[in-house]
Formats: sequence, C-alpha cells, structure tokens
Amino acid sequence: MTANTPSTTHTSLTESDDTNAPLLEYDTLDVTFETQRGDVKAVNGVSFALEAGEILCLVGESGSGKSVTAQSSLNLVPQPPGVIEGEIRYRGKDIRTASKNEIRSIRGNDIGIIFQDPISSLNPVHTVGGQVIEALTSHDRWSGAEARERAVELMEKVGIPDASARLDDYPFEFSGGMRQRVMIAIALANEPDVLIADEATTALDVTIEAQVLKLITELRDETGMGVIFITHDFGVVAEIADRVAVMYGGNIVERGEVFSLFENPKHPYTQGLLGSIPGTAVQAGADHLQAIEGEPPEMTDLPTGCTFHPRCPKAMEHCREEMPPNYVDSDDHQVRCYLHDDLPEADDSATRGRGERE
Amino acid sequence: MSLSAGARSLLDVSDPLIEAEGLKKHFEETSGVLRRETQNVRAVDGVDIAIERGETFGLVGESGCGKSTLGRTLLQLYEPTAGTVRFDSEDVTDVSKSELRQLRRRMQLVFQDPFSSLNPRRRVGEIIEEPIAIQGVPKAERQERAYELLEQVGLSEEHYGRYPHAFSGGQRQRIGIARSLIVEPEFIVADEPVSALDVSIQAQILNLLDDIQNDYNLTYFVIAHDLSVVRHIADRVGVMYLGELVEIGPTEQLFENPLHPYTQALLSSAPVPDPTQRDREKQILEGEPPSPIDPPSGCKFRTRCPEAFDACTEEPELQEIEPNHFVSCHLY
Repeated sequence: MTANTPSTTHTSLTESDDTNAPLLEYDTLDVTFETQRGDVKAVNGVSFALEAGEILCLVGESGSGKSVTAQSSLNLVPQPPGVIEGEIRYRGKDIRTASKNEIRSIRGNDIGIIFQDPISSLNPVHTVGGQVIEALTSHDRWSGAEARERAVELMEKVGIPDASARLDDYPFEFSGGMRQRVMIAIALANEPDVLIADEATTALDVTIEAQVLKLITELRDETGMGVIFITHDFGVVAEIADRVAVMYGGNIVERGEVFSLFENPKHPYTQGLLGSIPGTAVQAGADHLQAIEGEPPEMTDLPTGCTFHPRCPKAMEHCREEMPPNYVDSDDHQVRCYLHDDLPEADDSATRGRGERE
Repeated sequence: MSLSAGARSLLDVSDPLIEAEGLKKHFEETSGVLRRETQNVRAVDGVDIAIERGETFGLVGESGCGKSTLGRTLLQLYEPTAGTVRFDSEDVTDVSKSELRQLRRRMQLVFQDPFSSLNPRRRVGEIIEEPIAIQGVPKAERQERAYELLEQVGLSEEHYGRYPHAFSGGQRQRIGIARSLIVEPEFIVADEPVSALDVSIQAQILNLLDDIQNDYNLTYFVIAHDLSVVRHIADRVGVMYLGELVEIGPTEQLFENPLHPYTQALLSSAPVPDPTQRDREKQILEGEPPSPIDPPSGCKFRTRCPEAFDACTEEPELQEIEPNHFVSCHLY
C-alpha cells in the first residue's frame, strides 16, 4: 500500500475537492428518529472536523450518539425513521446531497468503515477472500487477477497468517480477532482517506486488541489517512488518540488534544468518567470507586438545559435552563459547561476544525 | 493423583470455603457432516485452588480459556470430568441430588448479561423471590425480604411490581444481585458482572458488590477479562490459559511483579488510561491461543511464548516463588 495513490483512478468527488476544506467535517448535525414512543434525539447539533493523518476518538457511553454520528457519515442511517439535519462534508462536498452512486463510490473508496461485530458484518456464505476481492473490484480499480493478488497482500498486511491459503476459507473458520482483521482489510482495500472504526476492538481480547490498535496506528502513519475511532474505553483513547471528543446525550460536551484532556478534564462528566475507572491512580487504595450517580438520559426525554445536569454533582440553577455554549481555552480545549464561563466562547469555525477555515 | 509441592502449598489455606483439586471439565463436541466424529474440548484441564472464607478471588484470562467453565464447575452446575470440589469441607462432587439442592442455596451465580438473564414476563418482585418461593416460603415473608433487598441494592419498593424491560442495564444487574442474595448465600461466582455495563455504571455495581460482601460476609469468585476491574476488587488473582492456572498471587504482587510470560503479556497489552504512558514498552503477543481441542504438549503457552526454550516441551509445575505467589513456568 502506498500513500500516494493516484487520485485520477477515483471516480468520486475529487473534481469538486476544496483543497482548504478539512477531510471530513460535521456541521451542526442533528439526527432524530421518529418512533411511536416519541422523537428520539440521537445527535443534537454536533460539529467537528477530521484532519488527514489524525486519530480522533469519539468517546461516550451507550446512547450518547457516537455511533449514529458515525453512521450518518455514509448515509447509513435509515431515513425514515431517521431525520438528519445539518451537513457532513467530505473534502468540502456535502455527503447528504450526494446521489446513491456517489455514496457508493465514496464508501469503501474514500471512506472505509469497520463495525464492532465482525461476526455479523461478514457474509457467512461467501469466502473471506471473495469478500475482500469484491471490495477491490467493486470500484473498478482492480481486475480479477490483480484483485486476488492484492487481496492476499492486504490480508498479510493486516496480520492474517498464511493468507493465500486462507483466501478460500469461510468466515466461520476464522476466529473473532481474525474476522476483525478481515473487516479492516476490506475497509482499507481501496486505500481510503478516512477510516471510521466503530467500537472496532470492543469484542476482542486485550492481546488481540493491542495488535489491532497497533495495526491501525501503523497504517495511519504509513498512508496518512484520518481515523475516527469510536469507543467507550478511555484506556483505548489514551493509547491511540491525537484528539478526543467526549459525547453525552447527543452532544460533544468536551473536546481537546488527548494529553490536555486527560491531564486537565474540564467537564464534570469527563472528570466523573475518568474517576470511575478502576485501577487508576485516582482510585489506588480507595475502597469505593468514584461512581457517577444515576443513569444516562432517555433519548426520548432529554433533560432541559445541560443534558448532564441531573447527574452532575456541581449543577447550578442556570444548568437546568439552557445548554451551555462551547467555552475554549488557549490550547483549543473546549468544554460545554458554565463552570468555565470565565473562558471565551468558541467561535463556529473553531468548533468545527482547528482554525484552518478563514 | 499426586500433587506437586507447589499445588500442595497452594491448597493449604487456613479457613477454606471452597477447594478444588485436580479439577477437569472436558466437553465432547461432535463434528463432521454426520456429527459422528467427536472431539474432546479440554475447557478446564487440571486446576487446584482453595478460596478462603471472606476472600475475593479474581480470575482473568482471554475468551475461551475456560474461566466461565471453571466458575460453573465449582458451583457444580457442570459435573467435573475429574477431580474434586469441597465446599465447607464437604466433597460436593459426591453428594446426592437432594443434598446438592441444599448446597446450591449456599452458592450463587451472578451473570454477565443483565438483559437476557431476567425473565421478561415476570415482575421484578417475582424474579427476586423465585429462589425462596420454590422452597415454600410464604408470600408475605417473601415480599418483605424482596423489599429489603431492593433497598439494599439501591432500588426501591416501587420497583417491585414492574417488568424488567423498564430498567436500564445497571438496574437489571442490581435486580440480578438481589435475586442471588435472597437465599443468603455464602459463596458467589460473578461471571463478568460489569462487562456489559457503561463505564459510569460499572463503578456503581462494583461498589455495590463491595458493600454486600461486607454485609453478608460473602466469598467471591469474580471472573473478568478486564484487568482493572479485577485489580480493584480482588484480594488474590489467578491467571488462566487454555484450561490451566498459570499464575496465582496476591493482587498487588501479581500486578506489580508478574512472573509468567503470559501474565506479563496480558498486563502489558491492556490499554492504560493515561496517554503519557502510551510509548511504554509493550509486549504484544503474536497470534492467538491454540484450540483447547488440541492444546500444545508440555507448557501450553510455549507456542506463543517469547521466552520458550527446550525445557518447555515438558509440562511445568506450579511453584511458590515468593510467599503465596505461584507460577507454572520453567523460567523459575
């Protein structure tokens, strides 16, 4: 795999590329699901940008909106019942207005995606090799014979031993860790610019997880792709992230560069999460863990004001009334919390990217 | 079966509640189109262990290493293929069905998955009371017990008449814990009790397990793949690989000074929630564990071990390297 793939072979949106635009950009994304029990507000005005070569971790608990955000990147959210507002721009072009053909071309070609569950993501009745080859040939970049050769190369690259012999095996003949490698091989088949990994290592054992994290970091170093890595595990975040965005109740409540966020978490939710991890310095010798009281909110019935206020040990009157804006410090570490209202409010462009936009 | 000196001293604890000696559990698996070929899955393959009254023993290892099978075999939910289990000095592998039923009340299992382990068609009250309803405890007394337990696990009386679907994962795990407590057990096997829960909820449940251990004087056998959970909750830790315990020791000793190359690799691969440590030297293992159907001869870890040498074709024995810290490895 080489970093400088000729973009002329892409049949995608390269013509309309805006060279100053971030690689992938979410602009006030709203995703609502209309259900019989009422509207489920999964994502509420999320804005962020992914730059080439960076690993951005979206971290949060179940129901925080992190997976829906990822799925909307490739129009994978079924509409209806989903209603999406806002923009998602790949190299400046809005994915939401793209045609089905354009999306098909972007998916796999420009943006690769890996899901948590490698068992249900692979087709059980097709050989593993067949599925890798299909990913390669579906974008007309590789002929059959070339594709077979390249499939072996890819499978070796992701650490599947004896790849050429295993090409004709079926998914059930692979272990969970090996299936996840196959999924990564498929996602990377066409050397995408963006890799979206949704809880990609959650189902794996730690020894295998460590191998996969190392692989993703190496591929990023080698190809310069941008990675959105979605996880609930702050351990994984600490291992691979360049930047972190913490989600709660469909919003990004805190974001910043990884060292700054771990050293100086500003939002009470982030502080609570980091404090509730067993076996850390904060917890050493403590009999009881610092738990966050209560439960994450019902998405059909989000609290008013700051969505975290019912569980927040520091909640004030104002927090119940209005969602706080994004406050930003000099290191571009942003937080949505009135405790930091001494900081200036982030302007829109800073909320989205790292200030590249004029 | 004669025991090695190491295993003998491992079993020598002052007030054991549960002891296993030479414990094995093999499953027969059929394969082939006609399901005529049988293979022997050696899930638990010779475990010696003694757990002291009031102790929390943590068991770690990767999926498929046999940790859940070991927990269930200790509870006699699986009949052992070989070896014995003694509970409160009584050999429970050799008792009648009715005696076993009596014993079961003293041992309980807390499950991983709070979503599938509660009957969706029963009200919470009935779910919690079921174990003593079977024993014929009158309704009024049952209800009173259930109310008390709901309070104790952090729920309330008003939840008594609701159905499980109305509860979150953490609340369901609380219900499962209340149910296991109603028979006033002495020994609880908790199989991945928090791995299905969100991080902020995990801490709540770990704190609850800690509180009820003190209130009920419980002995715990906690199975978890998450090393930080085990480090927090356990007094002593066992590391399992392909059906065998390869290292056992007091928690901090084992985490600070892991002896077995497998334990070292496991600890070093676990993600550390501190980015300043991301460049630490990591020992990342190659490959995956071999199949328990056909495990390697000699030391079972030797096919992945970075330090394997000639002697490893021989099976190592557990040895006590420092007080109460045992390892089964030819390096020592």
